Amino acid sequence: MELDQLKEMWSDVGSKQPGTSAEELQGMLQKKSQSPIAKMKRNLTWELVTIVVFYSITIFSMRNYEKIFASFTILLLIIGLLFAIYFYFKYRLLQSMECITCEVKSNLQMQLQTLEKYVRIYFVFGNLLTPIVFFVTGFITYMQRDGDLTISPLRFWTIFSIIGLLFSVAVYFLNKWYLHTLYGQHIQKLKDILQDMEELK
Amino acid sequence: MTNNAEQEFLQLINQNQGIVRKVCHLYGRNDTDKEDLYQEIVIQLWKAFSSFRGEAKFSTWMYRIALNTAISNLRKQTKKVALSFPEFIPHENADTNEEKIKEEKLTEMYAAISRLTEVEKAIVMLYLEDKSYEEMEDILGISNGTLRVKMNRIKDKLRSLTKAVQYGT
Repeated sequence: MELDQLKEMWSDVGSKQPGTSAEELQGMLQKKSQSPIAKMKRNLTWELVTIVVFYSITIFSMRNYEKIFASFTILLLIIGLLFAIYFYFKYRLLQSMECITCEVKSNLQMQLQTLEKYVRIYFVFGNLLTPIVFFVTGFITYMQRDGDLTISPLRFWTIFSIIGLLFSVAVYFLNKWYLHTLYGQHIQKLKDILQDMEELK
Repeated sequence: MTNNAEQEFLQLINQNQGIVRKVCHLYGRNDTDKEDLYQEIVIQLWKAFSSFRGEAKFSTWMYRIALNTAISNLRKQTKKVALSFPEFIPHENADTNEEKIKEEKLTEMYAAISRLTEVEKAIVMLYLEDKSYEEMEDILGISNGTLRVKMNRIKDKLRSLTKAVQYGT
């Protein structure tokens, strides 16, 4: 059988199936999209909600500790500012990640480029924020307990830096693995499809 | 969006349901998958409806969204699953020998199409829909020349795949 013979019958595909009723269609319009980008947008919203809840609980529980409250407020402000930049970039990228009404090829190219940028931002911020938070916390702890430290400042900072370095290296590999698990397959599939669209060997 | 827009949209979808059904038929792996894809395409069409200004034909606009959704959904596919027997084949009435042979050949062709890549399936679908290469270019964004070469290769591939199905390889 040739494809052209199938062409003769193709117009009938689906015609014997009962059509979706207007009520069913209307019901579909109320449902949430399950596309990968829609899910990423929802995940980002959840990340934001988690951070806000975490911040509120932390500030609420720290209000009784007057001695360190001011220092923690500064710490939270620094981290909060970095998170705000991070969320802004991610949100902007997600908004421009797809053009569903564009030609299929240009839409896929746009998705691939934007997703790669998105993963880079995720990776860079994830790796930067961890040591920043760690060392700022260490600095505040040091300033607060300056007088009551049982070890010398040099020893404190040496131990602290070694732990920080090991922690940052671990976070680097964890981030790499996590991002690959989340988006690696998706990126590879997009690349394969685009290559299939361009390939003419 | 207003109720009027919703009514207009529902009417247009009703008139063009066949396009969405066919895309789901080619890309869905089973009935549930086809229904999920159908729903997702309808949602995407609705979300984009306010931006439709009639510059392109409604069907072209619909093909773009339906194929973009089906291809970029990238659901996990561990193995290729043969497409279900198309409902337009009168297999229960295939009494004569000639009809039985035709039915078998159609089944082979369908099994072969299910083994094509996502992009090849899109090209085959538009070809079966009798779209010109210019229209295919407008929907897929692949140049006319590349599409012609690809179409010839797909036909060759389908020939060898149907032979492979015949001999059970």
